[in-house]
Amino acid sequence: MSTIARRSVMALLGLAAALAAGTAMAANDAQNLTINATVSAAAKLSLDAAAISFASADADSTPSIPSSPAAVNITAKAKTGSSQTVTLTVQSGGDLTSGTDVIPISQVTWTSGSGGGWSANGTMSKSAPQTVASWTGSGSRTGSNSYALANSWDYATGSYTAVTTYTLTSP
Amino acid sequence: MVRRSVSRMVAAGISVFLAFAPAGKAGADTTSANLTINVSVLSSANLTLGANTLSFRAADPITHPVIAAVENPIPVIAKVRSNDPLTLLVIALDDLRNGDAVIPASAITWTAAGAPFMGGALSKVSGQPAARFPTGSGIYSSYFNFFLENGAGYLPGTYSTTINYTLTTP
Repeated sequence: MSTIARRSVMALLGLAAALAAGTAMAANDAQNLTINATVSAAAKLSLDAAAISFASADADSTPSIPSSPAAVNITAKAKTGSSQTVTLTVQSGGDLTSGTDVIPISQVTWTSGSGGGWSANGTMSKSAPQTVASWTGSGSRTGSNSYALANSWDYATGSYTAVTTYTLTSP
Repeated sequence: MVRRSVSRMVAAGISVFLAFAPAGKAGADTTSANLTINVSVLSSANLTLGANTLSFRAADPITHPVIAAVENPIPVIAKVRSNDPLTLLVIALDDLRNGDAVIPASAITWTAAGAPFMGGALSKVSGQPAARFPTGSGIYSSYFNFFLENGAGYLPGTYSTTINYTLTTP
């Protein structure tokens, strides 16, 4: 082997040794990164009307008075556990009153054609919350309630008012 | 060097978690919205009579000085809502007539079965009270009985007139 050839072989061996040494020095390392997200129970409720009104009418020709507006659209949004039940209720703060004259709030009823967890009908109460809708798990639900007042000749003349409260609970 | 970088990343991840985690246990959330209900009840009245026509059959005035209407007794129902007392008035639009022959409207009288309804005699001049209802709301019912004074001077024939009831505030 010539001197030049001997030197080339040595250089190649040196390079191979260096590469082998480099491979032996590398290391793999892995660390986990845990991502945590917390979704707290949340509820959001909106009605597209703040008030409804019932006009005076002849109790014979109009035994049931529809409200104006004819319906109130309700949007209920809730975050909760997948097996938790979200409930929307309504309760009146009292009867309809005009001075000392009273029309029982139970004379006001509602119907709903919304389906999907919305009660088909209901009667206002001042003593206990009445279920308007309920469903399981998170989601946004929209429905509409149409209201009616049972008319009667027994009502004294006057302007009556009552305030009802819709409550959305997301457990 | 590598381990130190990873440690920083983990530390950063923990910091983010702590920053966004709620201080306590996630609980129920409740929200509410009010809906005001307004009702207007105005004065109104509704009167129902159990007959649209009164008929008096001819009879001998000697044996029957007063003729009762065939339709007696006639139910009457008044439904009222009012802030003021209401009076039910009845008036004859004219005397009973058959061509030129006349029987005065005042020849017809009526009785009522009970308060607040009352009896009286028809007039073509002014409304005569048939009931007085108190302030407030309610449904009142009774019966009217109508009678015709059978005058010996009435000419034979078919007489007619129209009477009108009106609920009014005094």
